[in-house]
Amino acid sequence: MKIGHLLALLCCMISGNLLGQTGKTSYEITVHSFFNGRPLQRDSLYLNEWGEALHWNQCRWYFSRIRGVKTNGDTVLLSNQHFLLDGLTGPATVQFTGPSPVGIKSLVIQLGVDPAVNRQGIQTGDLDPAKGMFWTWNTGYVHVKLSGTSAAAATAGERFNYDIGGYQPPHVTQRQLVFPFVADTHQQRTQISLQAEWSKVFDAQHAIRIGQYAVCHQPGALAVLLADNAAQVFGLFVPKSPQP
Amino acid sequence: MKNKGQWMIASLLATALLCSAWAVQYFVPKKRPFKIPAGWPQPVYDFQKNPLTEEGIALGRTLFYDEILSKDSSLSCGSCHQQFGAFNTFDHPLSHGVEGQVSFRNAPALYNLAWMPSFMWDGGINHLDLQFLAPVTSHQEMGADLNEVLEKLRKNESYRKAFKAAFGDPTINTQRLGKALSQFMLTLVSDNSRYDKVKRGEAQFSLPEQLGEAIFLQKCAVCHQPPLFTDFSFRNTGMTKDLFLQDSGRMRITGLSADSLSFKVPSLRNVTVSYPYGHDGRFFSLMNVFEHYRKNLRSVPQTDPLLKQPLALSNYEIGQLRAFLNTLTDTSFLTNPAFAPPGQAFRHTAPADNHQ
Repeated sequence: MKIGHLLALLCCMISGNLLGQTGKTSYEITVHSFFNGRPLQRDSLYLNEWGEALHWNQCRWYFSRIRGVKTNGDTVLLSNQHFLLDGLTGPATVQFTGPSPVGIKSLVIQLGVDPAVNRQGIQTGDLDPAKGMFWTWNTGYVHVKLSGTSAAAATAGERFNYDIGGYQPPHVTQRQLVFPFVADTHQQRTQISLQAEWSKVFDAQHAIRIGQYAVCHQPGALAVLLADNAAQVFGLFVPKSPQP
Repeated sequence: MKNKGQWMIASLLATALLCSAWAVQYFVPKKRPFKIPAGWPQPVYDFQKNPLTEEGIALGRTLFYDEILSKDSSLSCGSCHQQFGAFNTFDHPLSHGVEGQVSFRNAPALYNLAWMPSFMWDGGINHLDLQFLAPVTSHQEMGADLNEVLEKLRKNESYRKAFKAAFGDPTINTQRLGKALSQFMLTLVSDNSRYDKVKRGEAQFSLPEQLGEAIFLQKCAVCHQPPLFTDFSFRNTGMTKDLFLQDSGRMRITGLSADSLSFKVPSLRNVTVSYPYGHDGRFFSLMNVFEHYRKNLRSVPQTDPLLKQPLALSNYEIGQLRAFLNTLTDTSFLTNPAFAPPGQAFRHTAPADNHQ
């Protein structure tokens, strides 16, 4: 056998391994962040439901355990990765490969970090504590981190800061988000567009006034209220119609 | 001619493959088994996820004693956890931090950590690998930014080599930093005190020590259970809240008023060298502790049921108890050169005064 044949065989073996993976579908989930319908940006001023003016400084959250529910009720795990997303840097994107979307009627995404991960020591990648989404003093991940400034906040620097976390009952704060499975699938590429309407953090299910609650830095009742509201933030992306 | 050249290339490739296979095998970190002392429970630390290796332990030891982990490179873990005090802060009720800061807790002694299910006086940290993050990033202690620490380590050629030796490649991240520190700290096993020798049949208690053990088993051992001399529970022992520190203990973690002023039951191994005592170092001597339990404790609804009434302890009993507690001092642990700063022998820098 000539050396050229050997190299060709090696290439075939390598590509064979890769082909084993390409049998799956590649998924891309894009999240567009808004506040009262306006794109979320650092330098913009927004008003919440309670008339409190605010600027945003941080808007980050975890998506994890992305699943599909089929028409027959079976659940398919599409990805067990944890993804850290940022709502202040343009559309946030999650990419992964997973099983075929055929037959999936709804999409379920966990907002936050799996409870078990909180007990497994130090993680890497998006879960690295160096990402700043982690409490050491009371071990656990911050599922959603929202911060900014508002004259309504009676704090130093008029800062509001909502670190939404906690995985132990009764203060569990990870939430399951369910969406109709609306995807643009083309040649083993499935694209899903979601939107996040962050104004709902202040009013979706519970009234959160910055003047009353400017800081949430630990697991507890306030974190649970904020988590309930945060779960209402996400929905399918509805592109705006062009203005007449 | 062409064929000859191809075969030469193939031979070179094969040789390179063999050499790299040999190198990979040669540089595999050398495993160090973790020995569980006879009669002790199984450790709670999962060694499968962080097997001890000579290289990992050496790296952890270097990191433990390196000031690079602090904001201004002035403090190391070893600054507050000193070997002669069983790795507690000698003589300081509260840990000292960068830029003259003082923390709100006493730095506890470090040993037998493989058996410890949670860390800090309030049990807020649930894994040994994570524990270092608290002092390293606390503004009152080492005051560092974790990403800056990682960058300093990544720029250091010695550390790149040491991480490669310990973990197979030079990647330096939070997880490896924690695992390396854990590997060193897990080797801090204190199991060779006079008490241990007596239990192994290698020595005998004197009469006061024997009487002291009997009193201890009757009045102290429910919480300070041998052989680890703690049950790792959190208890309100009738200490009043320090008005300046406002430390509510375990309640800070659980949010439950029932946990107000509950703190972790500390191990009593090496207790005579690890003063001051208590979560805020309020007891400078064993006598202070005995006085608390027999005279000064204040019973409130959250006080542990075992301490609703002061402990009945006579001066005579205290004398016997002290004799017994002295047997828990593990000199071989306190002077083990393997636990000293790298390249240094054990430093006998502890002042000679005695707070007992």
